[in-house]
Amino acid sequence: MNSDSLFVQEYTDSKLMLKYISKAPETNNSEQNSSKIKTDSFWSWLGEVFAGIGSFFNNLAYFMGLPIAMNTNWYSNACYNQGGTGGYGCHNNYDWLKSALGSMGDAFVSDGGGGFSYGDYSGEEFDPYKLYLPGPNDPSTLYPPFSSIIINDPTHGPYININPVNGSYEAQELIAILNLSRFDGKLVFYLQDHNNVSLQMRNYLSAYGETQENKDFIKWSVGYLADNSAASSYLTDHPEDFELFVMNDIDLNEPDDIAMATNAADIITDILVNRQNGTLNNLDVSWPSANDIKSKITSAISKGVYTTAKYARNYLYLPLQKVSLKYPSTINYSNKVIDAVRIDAVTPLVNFNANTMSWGDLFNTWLFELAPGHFSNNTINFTLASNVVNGYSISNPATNAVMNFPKGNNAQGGNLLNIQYQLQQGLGVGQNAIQGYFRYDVNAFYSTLSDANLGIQMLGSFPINATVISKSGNTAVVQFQIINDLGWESGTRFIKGTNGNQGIIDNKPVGTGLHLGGTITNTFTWTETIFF
Amino acid sequence: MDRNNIFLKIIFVSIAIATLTSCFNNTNGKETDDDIYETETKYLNIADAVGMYYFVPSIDDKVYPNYKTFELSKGDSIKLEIRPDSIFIFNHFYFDKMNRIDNYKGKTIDNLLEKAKIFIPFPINTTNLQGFLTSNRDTLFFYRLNMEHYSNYEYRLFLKKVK
Repeated sequence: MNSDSLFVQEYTDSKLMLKYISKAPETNNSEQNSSKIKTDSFWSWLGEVFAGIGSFFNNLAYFMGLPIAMNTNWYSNACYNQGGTGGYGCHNNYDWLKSALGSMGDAFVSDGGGGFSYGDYSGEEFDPYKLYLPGPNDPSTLYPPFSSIIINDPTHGPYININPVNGSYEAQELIAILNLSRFDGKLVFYLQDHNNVSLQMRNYLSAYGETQENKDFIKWSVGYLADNSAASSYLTDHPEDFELFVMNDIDLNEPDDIAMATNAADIITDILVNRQNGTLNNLDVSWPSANDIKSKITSAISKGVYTTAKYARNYLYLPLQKVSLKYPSTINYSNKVIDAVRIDAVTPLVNFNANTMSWGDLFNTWLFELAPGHFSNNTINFTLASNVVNGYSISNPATNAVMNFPKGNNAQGGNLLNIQYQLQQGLGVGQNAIQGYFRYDVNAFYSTLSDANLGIQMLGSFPINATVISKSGNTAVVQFQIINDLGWESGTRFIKGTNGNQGIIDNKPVGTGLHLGGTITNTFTWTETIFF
Repeated sequence: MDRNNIFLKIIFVSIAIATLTSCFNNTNGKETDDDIYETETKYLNIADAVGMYYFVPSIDDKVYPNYKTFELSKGDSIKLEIRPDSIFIFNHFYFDKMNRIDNYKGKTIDNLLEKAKIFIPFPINTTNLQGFLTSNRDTLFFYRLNMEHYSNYEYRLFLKKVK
């Protein structure tokens, strides 16, 4: 056999061609006896048959599992086996392949032979499901788009595995929904070979909608599973656990997001596989994926609170929470990852001095549950000496200093403090004013989506108290105080999505559940001289 | 009188119009009642505030807390009575982070913002954001609590005046 040749002889068998192209096996029988018919009229007729089949399937047929538009020209030009005469130069067949494979068709003839040839097929039985490629060059060089799916057979040369079984109906649906092309062969093969996982993915799209975001996620997850044999093997046995790998809001245009999601999926795989094998203790000894995520979180922190919140929520808290809820015995290992991030990666970056810390420091103290050991009762008391209150050395102090925050508002459910008016009405020394309430509603959310309003986003809604310290003439010294809980409800406000704020996660005490985002209390107390 | 009698037809059409009008009126009334929660906070003088107020529960605990949230036994409720002599009585008074005092009572004080209106004093150094919401049909008293799912006093406890 000449390995420099492309063996496509079986394509000339209309029965097999039908297999490759159609997804209706029962139609094979009707073509059973037509494989050796050589007349043009037959091929014309067969073309019509295929066109009819294609029309039946909404003008979609599948070649190598890829949806391709039906084109009767392919079939009327399709090559036929001239049968042992040596006349294997079946250019029509080449045209057909070229049409089907586009630019890849050129690669098939890049053997330097000046064109397509059948080679010296001499009756040896080849697996009809293997599409042999010209060799003997390195296939990955010759066919970069297919490098990951080319199998190098030392006897017969490199080939692509063509499975005439297109996978389950759900797999085929996914292939069409995800609009997978010939360059996604790896993904196609994965779906075709993993019907049970395909079903879970199809169900996911049915349940949550075939939005571009969801389709992008499924496409990413197929690629992840195709590359990750441990995860793939696990899901083959436990397809229902696909839900544990679902991570929403991945920005697939951002390489950092993809890297973070991949790292998170590796961690989930490690936990699930070791739980299944009863070897979770192995993760105490060595856990590379858990180490990898530390550097990614460190990088996220350098980009600011929005990125940090998004990564921690989307790729740590939510996925690991799902795993922990389904398999409670794994929570210690989820926390092992989180604790490593908290202690090794984040703690060295945080300023714990309440007078000099920035909003970012406060945010990280909350998110990574760093208050214990630094602040008693998980409460941080800020005064007029604190930069976040007086505005010194923080960005945009006009809007980010607490003493410049609005003292309530007139939004629905809000209440403006209006201290001047209350002083005019006789609010006396030692008396508490009627409180103000800043209602962080939808309008407030959209009007504060910027770095210039980090502080007010962190507080969200808050009541503000005022007490008169001294009063003389039309001047009074008034002490203001805001007591505010910072928890997941506040924290998720930092994640900007296309539809605005992302989903709220319930608040939880520090040290419970997963060690991220436990509620802390901040008090801000300062005095101002008020003229009324 | 046969079925084609014009008098009968007039009666039938009149009844139909009256029924439809009644339905539309009911719908409008319901909308007004629902809208009370969207109205601005008001303060009332003692004459307008006097009455018995009962806790307004929600159908769904996840939307607004229900009897369960306040651990009320069957048949019990949160009640507030405001009397003409300015005395107020809560049978169960919840404040701040769900602290509870049974039989909390005292006398209303003047509202600093509108002195002719009343203000119910809360325990010292607690959050006492309160007010009334009114519609043509109903009067609600509310104040704020800091509780699960509603941190930072996002939850407004509503008590509806029933008499």
